[in-house]
Amino acid sequence: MAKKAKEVLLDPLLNTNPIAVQVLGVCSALAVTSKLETAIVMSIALTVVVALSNFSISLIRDRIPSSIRIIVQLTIIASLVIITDQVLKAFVYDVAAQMSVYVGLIITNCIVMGRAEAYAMQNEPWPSFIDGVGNGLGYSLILISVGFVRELFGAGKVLGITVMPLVTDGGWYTPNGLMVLAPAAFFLIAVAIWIMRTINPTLVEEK
Amino acid sequence: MATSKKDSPGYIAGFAIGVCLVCSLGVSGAAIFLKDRQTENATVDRQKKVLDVAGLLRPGQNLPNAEIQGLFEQRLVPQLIDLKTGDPIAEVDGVGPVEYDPMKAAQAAGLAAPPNEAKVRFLPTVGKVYYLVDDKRAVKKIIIPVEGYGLWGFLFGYLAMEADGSTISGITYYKHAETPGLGGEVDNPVWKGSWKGKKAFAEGSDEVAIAVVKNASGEHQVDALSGATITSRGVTNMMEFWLGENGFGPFLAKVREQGPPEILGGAAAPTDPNPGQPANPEGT
Repeated sequence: MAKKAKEVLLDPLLNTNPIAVQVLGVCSALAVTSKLETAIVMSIALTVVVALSNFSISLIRDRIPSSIRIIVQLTIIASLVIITDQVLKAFVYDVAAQMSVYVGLIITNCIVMGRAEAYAMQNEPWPSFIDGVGNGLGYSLILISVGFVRELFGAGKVLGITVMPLVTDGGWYTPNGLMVLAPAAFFLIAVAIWIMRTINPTLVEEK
Repeated sequence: MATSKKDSPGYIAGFAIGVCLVCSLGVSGAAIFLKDRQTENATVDRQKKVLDVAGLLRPGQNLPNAEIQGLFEQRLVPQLIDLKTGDPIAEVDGVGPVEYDPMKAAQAAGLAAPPNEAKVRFLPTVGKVYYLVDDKRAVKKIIIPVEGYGLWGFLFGYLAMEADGSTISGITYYKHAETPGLGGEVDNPVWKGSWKGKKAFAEGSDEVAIAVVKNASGEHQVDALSGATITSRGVTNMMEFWLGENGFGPFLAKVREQGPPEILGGAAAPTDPNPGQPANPEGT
């Protein structure tokens, strides 16, 4: 139980990565990764929400009646998500418009509830906060890699800057249409899972 | 003891109320605190889209809010149009063109639109267009608002036309919920660029001819978005509706007959030494 803060922070990046190992939060990973910019903003938004929800739930964990604990967690998470959405609309309007409903859908992201239930309910506020940041970063790692690959091969761009000029614009690169479609994210996440399991064979379930 | 106290209905109810109070304070606080910024962003975003469709912004160009507003006020003139007759009018019930919101007014008055493919529910009697003017306040382009149902919801946007009332010079959407990568490609600059120079109406008639179809050819067709048949059809439908007899059809027909419109009243216009601009020779 007495894991060091560093482990709490870094474990979710590789060993217990929420997407690639626990396979949580895949829905949003499909939806917002066709461009790198939305993937980055989504990553930041989710990291902030997980960290703050873990922190605030952990603060009141001893007072939450167990019969209504899930709905209490959801209320807190939902409020944080709405506030995040408002902040995005106020400060990065263009990106917020592109992400449309997906910011709101952080509420239903299993990672947030999963961490609240599995970690924040049993641990002190500070480690819970670190755990939230760690899991947010683990999510971000996958999201940003997938977003990078999809935008590069789907549109020949990185962060909206042309890297490989498209045939339609007089360049040489024919974009891979599959990359802009949701299934591409499935394939890329599967590849990420494969790589992680090859590096760390202890992740493979026993037969 | 602690457990029994925590499980008592009174404690649970009190706790739930407490959590709700704190959370609602946070949410409403954020909403109130950020509201001004958000409405400003939304207004500027729409102005930006109008500027964009008018061709005043380069793709990807990012200007600060104040500059957008300045450019908008300098180059774009809102004008109210009586949709039935197609005549410009100065105000509606004392509300001028800047403040008047046609769709809101139609909704408030419950003016149901005639059945239409674009699934537009409310149709105002007075519409609002924007004129793009040059430094002599001569109308160079006409920007009309369009909206209609796509696959997941309504698409809201603007169509820019040359002052001849027929040639399309651009299109843009400021709000839609189409699938990113498929219908969402209505935002793709290449696709938007393919509208430039197309003719909205059939030669010598008021019939709306512009359509979004597969393997487009000719001056009345725009290539469909691949993988987004329903969105493409929705775009065609909204063009038919808003350029048709219920929409801005009568107004545009007058522009085609009588040449480019002039700014009504011209309250904000600097005195023009040479009134009565010659009609655009290209206008039909």
